[in-house]
Parts: sequence; structure tokens; C-alpha cells
Amino acid sequence: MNQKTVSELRSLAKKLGIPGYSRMRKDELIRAINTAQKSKSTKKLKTKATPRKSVKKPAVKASTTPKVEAGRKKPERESAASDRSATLSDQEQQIETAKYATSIPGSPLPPSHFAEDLAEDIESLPPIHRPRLSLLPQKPGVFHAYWVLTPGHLINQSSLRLRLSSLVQSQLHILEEISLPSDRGHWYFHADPAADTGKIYLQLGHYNDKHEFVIAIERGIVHAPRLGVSSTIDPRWWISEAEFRRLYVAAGGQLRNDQLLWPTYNLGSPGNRQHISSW
Amino acid sequence: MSAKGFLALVLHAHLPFVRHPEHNRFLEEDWFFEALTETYLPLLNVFEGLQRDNIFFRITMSLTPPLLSMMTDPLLQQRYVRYLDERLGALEGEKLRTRNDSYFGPVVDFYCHFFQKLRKQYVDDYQCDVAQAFRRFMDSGSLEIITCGATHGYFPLLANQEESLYAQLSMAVRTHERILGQRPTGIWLPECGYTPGVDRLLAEFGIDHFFLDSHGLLNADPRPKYGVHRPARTPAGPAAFARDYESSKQVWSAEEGYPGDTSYREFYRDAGFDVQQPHIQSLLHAGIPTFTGLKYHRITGKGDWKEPYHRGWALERAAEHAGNFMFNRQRQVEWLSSVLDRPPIIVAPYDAELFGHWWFEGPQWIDFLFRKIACDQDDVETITPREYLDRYSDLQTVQPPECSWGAGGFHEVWLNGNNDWIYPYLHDAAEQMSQLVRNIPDAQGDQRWALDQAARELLLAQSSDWAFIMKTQTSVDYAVKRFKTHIHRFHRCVQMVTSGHYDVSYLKAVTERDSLFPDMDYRIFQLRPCI
Repeated sequence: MNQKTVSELRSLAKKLGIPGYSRMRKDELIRAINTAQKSKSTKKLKTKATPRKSVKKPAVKASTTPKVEAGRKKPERESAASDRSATLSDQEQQIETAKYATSIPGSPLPPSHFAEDLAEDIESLPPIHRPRLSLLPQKPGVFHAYWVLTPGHLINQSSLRLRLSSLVQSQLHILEEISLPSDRGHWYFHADPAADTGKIYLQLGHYNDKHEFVIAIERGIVHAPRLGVSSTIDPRWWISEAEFRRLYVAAGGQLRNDQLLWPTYNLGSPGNRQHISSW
Repeated sequence: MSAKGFLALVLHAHLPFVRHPEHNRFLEEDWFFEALTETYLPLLNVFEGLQRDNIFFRITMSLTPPLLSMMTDPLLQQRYVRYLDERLGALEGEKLRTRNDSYFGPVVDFYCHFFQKLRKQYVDDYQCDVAQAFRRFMDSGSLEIITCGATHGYFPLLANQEESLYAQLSMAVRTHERILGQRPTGIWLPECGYTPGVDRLLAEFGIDHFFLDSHGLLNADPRPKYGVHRPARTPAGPAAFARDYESSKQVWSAEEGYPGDTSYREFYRDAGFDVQQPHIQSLLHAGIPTFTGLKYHRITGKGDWKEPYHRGWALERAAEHAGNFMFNRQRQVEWLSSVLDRPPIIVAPYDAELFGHWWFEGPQWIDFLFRKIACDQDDVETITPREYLDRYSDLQTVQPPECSWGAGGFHEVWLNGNNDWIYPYLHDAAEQMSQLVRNIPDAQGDQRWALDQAARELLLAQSSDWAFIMKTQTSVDYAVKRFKTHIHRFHRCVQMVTSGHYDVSYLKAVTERDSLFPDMDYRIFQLRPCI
């Protein structure tokens, strides 16, 4: 690197997207290039090791305890700056993380030992005794379900199915149906984030001899997170399309394919499914 | 009024309840001590200066119930004085070490002065009670203090059992009133997590305003005529103020944001890692390098080479950045007032700990900003949302969508593969708790004690911090242990109630450890306010 001329280094820095390279001295350039190259290669490795999207988790979680030490990452200011896709709220999250930082990320922490004088066996939490079915929205187009079945509660457990449907204009549409692999677990359902999903239902049941779906437990969410702006205008607070667009964009929104969209939406592609996990 | 528009600076101050009397020292208690050192005390110092110099300023802060509880806790107060004294002691050694060092000697001098002043402020001026110091500015009208969920529970993911939301709000209002002497009228919803219906609950508690991320108002139904630059009423009545993206970006953004300036203090370099001498080692936990708060370098630039921190240069930059921020707000207000037919309000909310803890010069930036706004221009006036509502009550009514200010704009940060396992436990416990309230409407003696403690444990388990930490992979081990401990304790207390056998020594020990909310009433877990 030292053999290179300043102008060669500058063009390399430009390629690497190093901001402010034109004002740097030679030694600064070399340092910046080394760091950029290093962070580029480690970044590739890191992405491989720790998938960013939460939905890409391992198919089946065998252990009852969540992994706690996986892929700690040093949230360097510079790496955030070079990651142009990082959204504002990602950066806020990074800064908020600093509140809980007691050490340089990645360096070993003193063991977090809790006093054991009260004979509290926190590793074996009491199992949940009552049957549960829950539906929670995660973001537009993604719904999280978990279920707990208890012995004797439902017969035919092997043929139990979980189904997500939407009710649009009194028509029930089945969005996705899975068969339950275990008596307790989590599943992330995917739907079209842009579609008007109306009211969402989660139903647990089985098919009878006549191939009719018999519902055992049902959960509904009234409010599925919505993507994009309302089409309704209040006559008392009337605003023209053009004015509203101007305000929306000035407030940080985006106009994409003639649609107003808020840029921090980070929608998982519906292709990422597979997330049964049991506990 | 000559101002064309208003600026509402809103700081959300929060830390989870971390207090371990069973240990003489505990690493995670440093979260609170660092925030006191770098954020809360420096902010109070800024307010003191503004008041002394008769500078008009308005600021809004949410002081969450766990934070207020820690600020007023005698054990933590005592430990914080120890924290300060240990640093002052170590700095004597540092002075000796750097006595001939013209680069780092002045930085060490700066820290000596900094910690001496802090100790005087904390012990002599405030008698160790920071909550009362904030309260004085609230009483004088410069500072509006709003509340938050009792333990910062994330509302949208607890809303399937509304009893949990009532409990979060009841205990929040009680704690606010107990410590600050009055009922809150505003709330910072934990993580700005909103789901339709929350506004109805807020109204029941007499809370008339809250905050949303920008898209919470922009995507509301019907379309908001004033975008994010005026609040709107929600169907149940409380007004929703929305974040102004542009002013946020100037402070947060890694590319354009102020805190990344090369003159500012570098967060990740710390004497705990850089100095191998006994007087510094004595500050560490179990001898393993951790942050000591003695950070001697400035950001300098990209890469690992860091130069010594120069306080004067850093303050110069903070003044320039405050001027830049003000200039941009003037331009923004000018434009907005030309397109809107009512005075705009720019709501700029931040995590309070950004100022000071992450961005060391942040409190001074706020100081410069208020002074410039008061003295250098007439376009923008600072205001609290409370005052804005008192002046302008003709608001449009809209229904905001489900939203938060977390990464992605929805609930993904608190509901994903790293933390989804906590929800079955939380929901199950809340169901048990509210059933107990229905079955035992008037518990007495040990039964009441066990039920109250169960309610405390459940609230502590609901804290959104645990899910956040599991997701972001800092101190995960601690977060997991805390969550499991509270669920475990909850079940032990409930078991005592159902079996009728009370283990008083266990109850005593647990009550002493998870000691917040002395006015706990387990009946907060029911479908109406319990305040």
C-alpha cells in the first residue's frame, strides 16, 4: 500500500466509498483503505454467521433455552456509516444498545452470576398447563402464532392443523395452513403485505370424514398492521392529493411507483418461511 | 406571539430496574450510574444554567417508573456515591501516571474536574435525589414530565390481555404521583408502541397526549391534513403527536448526524481497556476489562487510530451543530407556515441517554440550542406538547395504525426468533394474575403480600428491555436470566396463594430484592384503572 501514489490511493478510496477521501493525507488514506477492506470482508462473514432477518431462524429449536451468545457484533460507528442501507431506526437501535453496553462489543464479559441463596431453579420454568393459542401481528404481512396443547385437551393431535384466514367483505380467504408438528411451538405466517387483509383469523382444528374443517380454537385480530396511506379524506380537514403527497414526502416519506410509502418498512420476503420452533 | 412555529424537544429517559442488594457490586448497575454521570446530572446542570441566566426554554421528558424508582432508591444512591468516589480515587492515580504527558494530562484534568463537580451536584445540591431535582424544573414550568408504562412493557404485544395494559398504566400513574407529586397528563408509550384501543385506556387514566413515530400519523385514517406537524385526536380523545423525521435524522443519522463528528468523544475507547494499572483495575468487575467511564479519546476519524479528547474543540463543534440545527428548524418552520393554515409544531423526540451517554457533548448541544433559540431569532419558539394543546384545541380526529418507532416501524424488534419464546410465559402469567384478582378481590396478610409480590414480578418480566436486549445481542445472558427469574418468582408467589402455605422468609428476600412500587396493589391487573 505504501508504494502507491496518493492519486492511486484516492481512486481506490473512491471505489471503496470512503467519505472525505479527497481531503485525506497519504497515511490517513492508507488507514482508511485498510479499515474499509477489513470491514468489507468481515462484514461478508458476519452476514453469513448472523442472519439479520429474524424470520430466518433455524427450523427447529431443539433446546429449551435460547442461544444467548450467538454472533455478538461490534456496532462501530464507521461500519454503520458505510452501510448505506441502514435505516434511521436501525441506527437508533444501535445507539439505544449503547445504554446496555458495559464493555466493548465482542470482548468477554465478566460472568453474570446470580446469587443462588434462594434456591431458585430458574432454568426449569414451570410448564404452561393450560392450552393456549395466540396470534400477534409482527409487521405488515407477517403474523406470529404460538400454541400450547395440553394432554387430553385435543384428540386426533396427529391430524391437527393451524390455519390463517382473512375476512374481506364477508368472504373468508385461507392464507396459509400448516399441520401441527408438535404440541407446542411458534410459527410465522406470511401474507401479501400490500393486500387489504381485513380481519385476520387463526383457527386450530382438523378435517372430519367429510373433509370439513372443524374448528377447535379460534383467535382473531381486528387490526392487521397496514402498509401505506389511507385513501379517506375528511371533508372538514380536506387536503388535495398533490398537497398531501408534498407533505408526506417532506416528512420523510417516499413516493414509489405512484404509491406513498414510509421508508423504514423492512418487509421480509414471503419466501422466508420455515420457522416452526418448539419449546 | 411572533414565532411562526414551535419546536418540542422530547427526551425519553428510561432504564430497566436493576438493583442487586444480594451482591456488593453488580456490573449491570453501572447502566444507571453511567446514565446519571453522563446524561441525567449533566442535563440538570444545563437546566440550572439556563434558569440562572433567565433563558426561556421548554423541554419535555419522560421519566419512566423504574427510572424514578432507581433515582429515589437509598441503596442505589449510596452505591452511586461509591461509584463517584472510586472514580475520583482512580483519577488521582491517573494524574500521577500522566503528569508528564502533554497529550493525555489535560484530559485527565478534565475528568478530575468533571467528577468533582458531579459529586458536589449530586451529594451537596441534590442530597442524592435526582428525581426531586427534575421536579423543581417541572414546578417552574420549563420542564414537562410525562410518564411511561410501569416497567416499559411493550403494549401491542401485551394487548391481548388488556389487564396487563391497565396494570402498566395504573402503576405508572401511581408512581409518577407518588414521586413527582402530580398525575401525569402525557405519556411516552414504551417504544412508541401503539395499537388501536390504547387511546381509550389512556383517556380512562386522564392522559390526554402521547407520541407516535411519523408513519403513525402520516398513515392514519383519514389522511391527516397537517401531516406530522400538528397533533391529531385519536377516536377516544387523547392527542397524538408525531415525530418529525428531518430533525431526528440530523441528530441520529450515521452519515449526516452530529454525534459522529471527529472532535466528539469516542464511546468505545475506555481506560478500563487501555490502562493496565492497579488504580484502574480496581474499578473493574472480577478483573475483566469493562467500561469505567474514563474515555480519553476523540472519534478522530475512521479506523483505530484515536487522538486525545480536547474538550474545548468538542464544545466548539457542539455550538456549531446547535446553530445548524436551529437554522434548519427556522427554514422548516418558514416553509411549513407558508403551506399550513395553522402554526406548525416540530416534535423532536430522542432517547435521553443519547445525550451524554452516547453523544457525550449532547447536553451542551441542548444548552447552546436553547440559548440560540432564545436570543438569536424569532421564528421558532420552544414549547411543550401540553402547552400546544392548551393553545390550540381544534384538532382533526384520526385513527392511527398499529406502529412503533423500532427498526422496521412495527413489532419485529420485540417479536422475532430471538425473543418470541417469552410471550407464552408472559401471557399465561397475566391470565393467572387477572384470574386471581377476580377470585380474591380483597386479600389480607400474607396472601396479600404474596399477591402484591407476584404482581411486581410480572410487571418486571413484562419490561420490553429484555426482549430488546435478546434481539440486539448485548448482555443477552443477563436479560435471559432476569426474565426467567421474574417468571420463576411469580410462580412461587402464586403457588403460595393457591396452596395456602406461605414461605415468609422467601417472600421477604424477594420483596427486598425486587423492591420497586412500595404502594403495589395486586388489583391493578383488572379491566379498569386502579389508581
